[in-house]
This record gives sequence, structure tokens and C-alpha cells, in this order.
Amino acid sequence: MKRILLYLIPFVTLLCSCGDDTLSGAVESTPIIITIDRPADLEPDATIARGTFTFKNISSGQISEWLEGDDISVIPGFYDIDYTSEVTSTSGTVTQMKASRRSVVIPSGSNPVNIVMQAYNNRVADDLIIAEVFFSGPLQSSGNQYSGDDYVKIYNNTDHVIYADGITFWESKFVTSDKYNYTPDIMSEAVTIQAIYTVPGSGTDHPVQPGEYFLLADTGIDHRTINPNSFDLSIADFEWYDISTKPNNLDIDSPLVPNLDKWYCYTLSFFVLHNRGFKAYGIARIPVDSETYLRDYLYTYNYDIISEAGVFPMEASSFRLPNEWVVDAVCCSVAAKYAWNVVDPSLDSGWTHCGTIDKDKTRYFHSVRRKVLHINDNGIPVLKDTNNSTADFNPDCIASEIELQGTPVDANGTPCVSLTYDGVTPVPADAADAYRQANRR
Amino acid sequence: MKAIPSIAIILVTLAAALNATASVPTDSLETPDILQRQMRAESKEINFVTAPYQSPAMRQFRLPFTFGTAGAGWKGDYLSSPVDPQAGSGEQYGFFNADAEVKYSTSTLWGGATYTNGIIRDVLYNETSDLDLIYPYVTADEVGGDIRAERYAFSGGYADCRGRLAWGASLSYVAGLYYRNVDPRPRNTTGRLDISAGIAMRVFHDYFIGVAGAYRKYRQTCDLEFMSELGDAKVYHLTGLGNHYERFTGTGYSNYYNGDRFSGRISIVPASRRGLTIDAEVSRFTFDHILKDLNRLPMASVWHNEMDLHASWRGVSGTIAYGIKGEGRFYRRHGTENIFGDAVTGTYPQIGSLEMYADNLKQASAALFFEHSSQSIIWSIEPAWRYTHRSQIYAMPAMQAKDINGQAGVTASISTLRFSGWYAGLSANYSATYEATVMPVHAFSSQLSLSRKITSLHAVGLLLSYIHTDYHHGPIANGGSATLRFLF
Repeated sequence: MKRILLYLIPFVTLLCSCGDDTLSGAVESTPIIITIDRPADLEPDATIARGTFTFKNISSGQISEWLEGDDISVIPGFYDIDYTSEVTSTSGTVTQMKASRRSVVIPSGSNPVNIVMQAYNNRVADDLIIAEVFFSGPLQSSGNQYSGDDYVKIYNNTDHVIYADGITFWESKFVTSDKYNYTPDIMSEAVTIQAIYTVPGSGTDHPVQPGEYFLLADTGIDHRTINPNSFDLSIADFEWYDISTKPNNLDIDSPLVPNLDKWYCYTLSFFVLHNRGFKAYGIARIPVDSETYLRDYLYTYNYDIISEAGVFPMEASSFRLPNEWVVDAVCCSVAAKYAWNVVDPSLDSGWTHCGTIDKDKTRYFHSVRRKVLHINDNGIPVLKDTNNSTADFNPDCIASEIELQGTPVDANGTPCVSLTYDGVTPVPADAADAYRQANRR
Repeated sequence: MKAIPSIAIILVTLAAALNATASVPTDSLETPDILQRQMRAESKEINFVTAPYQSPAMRQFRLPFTFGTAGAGWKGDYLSSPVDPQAGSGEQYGFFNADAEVKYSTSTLWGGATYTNGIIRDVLYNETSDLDLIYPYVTADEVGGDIRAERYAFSGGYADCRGRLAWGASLSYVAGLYYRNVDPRPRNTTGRLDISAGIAMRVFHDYFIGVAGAYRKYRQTCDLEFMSELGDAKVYHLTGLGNHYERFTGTGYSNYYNGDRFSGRISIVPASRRGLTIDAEVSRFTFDHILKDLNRLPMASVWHNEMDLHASWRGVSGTIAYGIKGEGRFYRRHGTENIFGDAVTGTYPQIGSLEMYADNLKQASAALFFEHSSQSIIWSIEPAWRYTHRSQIYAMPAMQAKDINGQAGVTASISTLRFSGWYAGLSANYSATYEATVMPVHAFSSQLSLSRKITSLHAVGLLLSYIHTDYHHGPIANGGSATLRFLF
């Protein structure tokens, strides 16, 4: 009996000791001290404004913001941390300085956690940028998926003509939904890519005027003849075409739209954008010819697949694209599957999406579109480009071609009646013609 | 599972056969007449105290004679709108049930089997089952709908009393299958195995003091599917008070719960059911919520410590039986969410954990009864009172939900054997909450039992019940049941 009582006493004490409205122990915040390592190429006399830290709790999705110099403390957990600050050079030019740390473990305890973040100057390339990626496709009236009308829109966000000749469109090899420890890790130097298509030309064949779009399509035909819920892509500037080795899966070579110059693609049939958006897409200017590139830039890597059956060492190869050749990149994923960014933070420190879960049925007819910052004096939209797709893109937008052509926005054939610059900002009636002209409509 | 009706038939047959030959144990009830036994079995004197008889060693002192029922019927609850959307707006089902307790010499054998098949209406934000066991960590979506429910249960036990020593052991198993045939399509299987054993010793007069221990193994597997080609609805893993584990939203469609419960109790029981009864039980239930899809990721875990106290006094004076009891229930249920690092090859390493949820309850209740018995009529009245203080807390974002209420009610019953070969029993209950921090409730329930003797040992009967609950400024619930029974 004594033993029973000895067992019961602590149990009953535990049961009754805490107050009614308490947890066993309060969830205490952990203090954090962050050191920003400034980029080496920062002008010594530049003025740096007080920056902002953003902490995103990966488990709960909660976001908290802190000003630089504040006493920062967050509950223990797993965090993505971003830092932004404005830098004013001695010449008066204002740029952004940024830093990112992903997957930071904040342990519990009262001792401050020291975090060092390497800052970098935000690259603003004087070149074309990606304005839109339409990867999800529309639905047919039967409710089935339709493919072949995916596209990428490139935009001249500068105030001068830029030639699209030599612009390479690429897709990442790795997916944002599955992370493996690829070795050697080259992400800080290069992107691992598996599809490479380049705009042919002598260098001045394909001018893109300021505020003008340049459309790269999967198949440059009028898709409405096959699927009334789709739209016309015979007006695209280029299409990516593949000579398939699979007789059951042949690509369509539109006679109306010229083909991109195919350097390499992983598939033996034909290339389509990832329908659920688990890839990174980008454009680059590769300063070597295709033969040299395909010879010298192969990347062989190793990783382990760990399953219940054991650990399986794997080896694979793909191509590496040096980060300094990349003109623009956008990572795509969905919240339910997102695991990591497959490009260096200096190229894209965020990611955007259509839908929030895998196989999200709300994603059809939608694309990711770059946000409009403002309309300049010439009536041209200036798009946001901070190399952070989370901030730069509007997710889940009606695709611009659907808006421009007034084609259906759902499987029932409901026509689109909106016209926006970026999926959110409406195009005023008196600016509609100019916007259509910029899209070459 | 299909064997359950067979088991029930065997049990009923065995009980009926034993009943024909059994000698009724030491009790004032000399006649084994079935209707007399039914009237006693449904009386307050027998049913006023229940807690200590959960000890298998003490169970033999609850009912002083052999008695059993086997029946089939239908039960349904209808709510005008859900009180708790996760529990649905009522359940309707048909059932088969058999229960028997057989006395033979110094031994008591009991057993039961139940099968139910029905539907739970309008379940929302919950695609799991056994909500009361596994809350708050349920898998949920915003679509929901009706859920088909099939349950199987069987139980049995044996107890004996030799000299000063009494002992007993029991075992029960409850299984459930829950599913929906349209998107979202959950398919949940639940299993709950309870084993308990107890021993008691006569200490003075007819008082027994005993201890008992019990173990429960609980498991629920949940598989959620979407068959639509166009994709899935968003699936959440709730963590309490409307929060969810954001990181795993849209994943973990296959998950399971794995739990264990240990309990111990100490009881003092008078074998004659007259005098002081004391019972105290402490238990600890723990379970893990594991996302099978993500390489068996242990998303959350819960511990639930509970203490149940009971003290009562029952007495008999001539034709009058009376009693008073006080009970207390206290529990602390705390939930811990685990934190994971980046997945590598689909495996998430656990890097920490945080206790984020708590549900703490204090409940006290008291009741007394007064019962007058004659050879052909028993009538009784039982006023009761209960106070509840329940507080749920979530750490971040800081949230709290309190439910504090008092409830008072009264039950009146009458049963008679006045009509030759017939038994009729009627009871009615009214209760109301007061000073409620959430929805106040008025409830009325009634039960009618009619039985016709076939032989002195067997009868057939009909049991009807009705309950009406009015949630002030809220839903109205109506429910009822009808059971056709064979009594032996």
C-alpha cells in the first residue's frame, strides 16, 4: 500500500499542481542577435538605412517583422529569415541590400542565439525579366486537363530597347518539393538545369521595346480549335519544339511560330512546363556556344535516397548554369509541398505559386504574374524586380492571355471580362489599347 | 467481425441455460421471476452507484442475480444545426446488442456484444473518428459531409469470491469502421482493447477493499482519398482551438494514432450495497499522431492525466432505499507539437518540440435518491447537481476558451408489476445549466420500458426513449431510440 501511495502522490500532485489556465511550462521566446556581413563590393561611404528582419515560422506559417537594432526574440522553432535594407550610394543611387537564411533552427533557452547573415547587393540586371509563367494549363469542358498551351512571357522593364537574341529559357533539374543533399553542392555558383532553349538571332533580330512583352510558347497554334476553353498562341514570338522519339507522344511543330533553338532537354518526347509548378524557371545569356556549353558544363552529382528499405546512393548528371549568366529566375512551388529553393538566394530568395496544395484544383487557368510597381510617365508599367518571387509576383492570377483574348476562366466556359497588368492591377480603359499593343495584340 | 452475431447468440444461449440451473446467490431476492429481476435491475438502488463496479473484482457485487438482455433496435439524434461541427449534427444507426451477467455459485460471468451500423450527419472540419479520444489533433477539410459508421464491440469478464478474497478480470474490444463514398473519402479504422484485473479483500462486515489495474491499447488509422481528377480539397492537421500545422497542410493524407492508457483504482465497496462506498481512479492516456505519408512523421503527441473520485452512502430502511453521492473528475490534457528540420529524401528530422495546447477540467457532482419499493411498485426521485470548469489554452497565438457552468436536474421514475405478466417502467429527467459561459442547455428525456413475461425465466420487452435538448439561442436536438428485447 505504501508503494502505491508513493506512486500516487506525485501523480496527483502533477495533476493538481498547475493552475487551471496554464500549460506545463510557458513557451518562452528565445533572444536573437543577428550580424549582417556587408557585401565586399559595397561602397564604403554608402548610407545604409535601418533594415527589416522578417521571421517566418515554417511550422506554423506565422510571420513576424523586426526592425534592425530592436531586441529580437521569437519562440523556438524552425525559421526562414530575410533581411532587406536600402543603400544610398554617394552618387545618390538607391539600391537594395538583402540577406537570407533558410531553415534556421532557433532552440529554446534564455541564452541569445547568434546568427550571421551574408548580405548581397540586389542584382538589377539591365536586361529582360520574366513577367509571367503559365504552367498549370486550362481545363477542357469535360473537366479534363489540357496541355500544350503553357507559356512564358518575358518583359523589357528598362527604358531602352533590348534584343531577345541569345536569351536562353531554362528549367531547373531539381524540384522545390523534394530536397536531397546533392554533392558537390554548387548552388552558390550555378543553377542545375535540364531544359535549355535559346532565342536564335544575330544579335539585333528580335528587338523588345521598353514595356513590351516577348512570348515563348509550348505549341504556337490556336488551341481553341482543340479545346474551346484555351486560347490562341499562334501569335507567340517563339515556341519550344522537340523531335520526339516516342511515336505516341509527338510534339506539334506550328508553321506559324518559329522554333527556339534547342540546346538540350531531358525528355525523349516533348517538353512541357511542370503542371503543378514544382520547378524554377529562368532566362540567361550564355556567353559560349551550345557545343562548348554542353561539353564543359556537365554536372555530375551524388545523393542518397533514404527509405524504409535502406539507403540507396544515387548518381546523376545534368547541366550547370553559372549564376552570373542568369538574367532572371523564378522559383515555383505549393505550400503543402515546398521543401527548398533550387536556386541561390541572390537569384531568387522567394517562391510563388498557383494553388497551395499538391494537385490543387484551383490552379487551372491561373498563372504567376510579376507585380506592377507603378505606371511611368510614358504609360508603361514598371514591374517589381527584387529577386524575391514571393514579393515580386502575384500568385494565382488569371493568365494574361486569357484576359487579353477573353477566353474562358473555368471548365464551364465562363468568358474572362477582366484586363489587368499583373493579375491584380486593372488596365484603365484608355490604356487598354496600349497594353494590347505591348502584348502585340 | 461477422462472427460477432454468432458470439452474441452463443452468449445469450449460455446465459439462458445457466439461468435455468443457476442458484441465485445470497440475496434477499428469493424468486428468480424475470419481471421481478428486471424491476430490480432497473431500480435506483442498483444503478445509483456505478464507478467502483468498473473494477472487475467488485463487479460481482453490483447485481445480486442473473440477468441479461438481447435486443435489436434503432437510435437516432437530430440537431437543427451542429453544436460542435466536428462531431456532426447527429447520428442515426440500427443496432444489435446482447448483455448478460450470470451468477453461479460464488462466480459471476458477464459478457456483451454490440453491432451498430449507421450514419453520422454533417461532419465538418474533421475527417477522423473517436474525436473525444484524439482531439485536438484531427485531420480536417472544409468540405466534410456524412460519414458511414460501423462499430463492433464485445466484452467479457469473470469474477469470484472465496472466503475473504474476491478477484476478477475482464477484457473488451471495440472496433470501428468509418468511411464516406464521395470526396473527400476518409476510411478510418479504430481499435480499442481494454484489459483489467482486480483483487479485493473483505476487511470488516461485508466491506471489501480492493485494487484494480487496467490497460488500454488504442489505434486509429486514417486514409483520406480524393478521386476527382481535378484535384483535392485542402487538408489541414488541426492543433487545437482552430489552429493548424501550416507546414503539413495538404500532406499527410494517411496518418494514424497510437495510444496507451494505464489506470489504477482503489475501492471500498459493501457487498450488500448498503453503507459507504469509496472509489478513486487515476489514469494516464498518451498517444502520438503520426503522418504515415511523411515517413511516419510524429507530428504531435498528447498526455492526458485523469483522476476520478467517488464517495457515496446507500441505505435501506424497510421499503425505503436512499443514497447520496459525491463525485469529482479532474483531468489535464496537454498536447505537444514536434518541430522538424528540412526534409532530406522525404524524411523530416525532429529538431525540437513545444507544448502548445492544454485542456484542463475540474468537475464536481452530487446526487441523492429516494426510492420506495413494494412488491409491485417501485418509484424513485433523484435530484442531481454538477459543476464544470473547463479551460482550453493555445500558446501561440495565445488563445483561451473557457466553459464554466453549473447544471441541476431531477429524475423521477416509476415501475410496476400490477398487471398480470406485465412490467411497465417510466422515467423522466429534466436538467438545465445555469451560469454557463457558453450555450446554456435545457434537456428533457424520458424512457418507457414495457415487458411481457413468457415464462418465469424469460420475457420480451420494448424499450423506448426520447430526449429533447434546447441549446438556448442555438440548435435544438431531438433524439430517440426503440429497442425490442429478449430478457432472461
